[in-house]
Amino acid sequence: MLVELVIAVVMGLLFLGIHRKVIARIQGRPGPPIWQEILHTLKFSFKETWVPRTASTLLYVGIIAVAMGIWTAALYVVLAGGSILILFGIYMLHKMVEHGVGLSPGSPYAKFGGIRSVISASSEIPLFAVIGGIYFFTGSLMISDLVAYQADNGPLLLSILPAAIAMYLVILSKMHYGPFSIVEAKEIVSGYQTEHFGVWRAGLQIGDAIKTFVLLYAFVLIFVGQLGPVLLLVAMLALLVSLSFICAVSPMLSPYDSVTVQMVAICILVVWLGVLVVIG
Amino acid sequence: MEKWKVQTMTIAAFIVVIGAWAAGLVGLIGQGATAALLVVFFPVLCLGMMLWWTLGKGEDDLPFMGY
Repeated sequence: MLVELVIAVVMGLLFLGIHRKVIARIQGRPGPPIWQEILHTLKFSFKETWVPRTASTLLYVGIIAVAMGIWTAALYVVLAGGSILILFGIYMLHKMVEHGVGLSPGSPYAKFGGIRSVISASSEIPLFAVIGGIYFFTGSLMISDLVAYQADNGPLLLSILPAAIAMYLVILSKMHYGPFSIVEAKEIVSGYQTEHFGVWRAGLQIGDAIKTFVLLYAFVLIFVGQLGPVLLLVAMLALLVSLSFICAVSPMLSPYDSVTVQMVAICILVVWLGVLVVIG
Repeated sequence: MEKWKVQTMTIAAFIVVIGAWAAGLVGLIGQGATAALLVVFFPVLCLGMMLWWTLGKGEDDLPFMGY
């Protein structure tokens, strides 16, 4: 699994770079090279690093290890074809990371980011629609079972589109520069990451990279099925570019609007799923 | 944290990560055990490698409190 982990880090950083590049091109800017996030991580890892005087050292440093650790575990769950309940449990743990990173240094900007991560809990609600929809239609929550089901019955993307849209919203809410990225809005500097610099920021970047890779990979496995390496990469890239497009053309919402839009979206999706259940 | 502690921790994490990977490859331990060891020690190894040269050069500072 070590090889897959290293691939996930490199590919994840590359995906984040492509995300920035696509947003820039859509907005008519040249944008950074697609390997910029890899260079960023390398640059941060050689920066002078210390712990701020007002920080809780254990939380300030430990939470970075947690950020990388939980997404390493998520990668294993996806590779092993484990339960999507564990995967989504880890997704919810990421909220704890955002909160911990924000509260540990003692800076008000980071603290605001941490608090916003709590009020943006509505971004997790679509997960329930995903879990409920998938379980009703397939009778299992194991990724390996879902892959086998799709090999026999075709992609779930077509049969339970609202669940796929719900998971798409979940991934969108965790993308940088997205309409729901209120935890790192510029009016609070860099949000919860404001005071994590140098090696600490590089660690968060690595966690982010694994997270991006895992979420894109999981979406393809859960809603499209098992693909060959090239097709898998193409599918993940297509998914990423569509997310980047939305991020590029939509403004970052205010915290209130972000929560409202997500709540309205999930209500519509739940009704849609209900209709599918009644019909099916 | 003192530099020698970070370096010792990094070397220990490196040994565990490589050992877990190799043991998993030859079947000495299960994939779940390999993953569990990587979940704990991969972050330590990453942070340790990056802190190897940079730790302890700067003094503690107050965080950015605004203008």
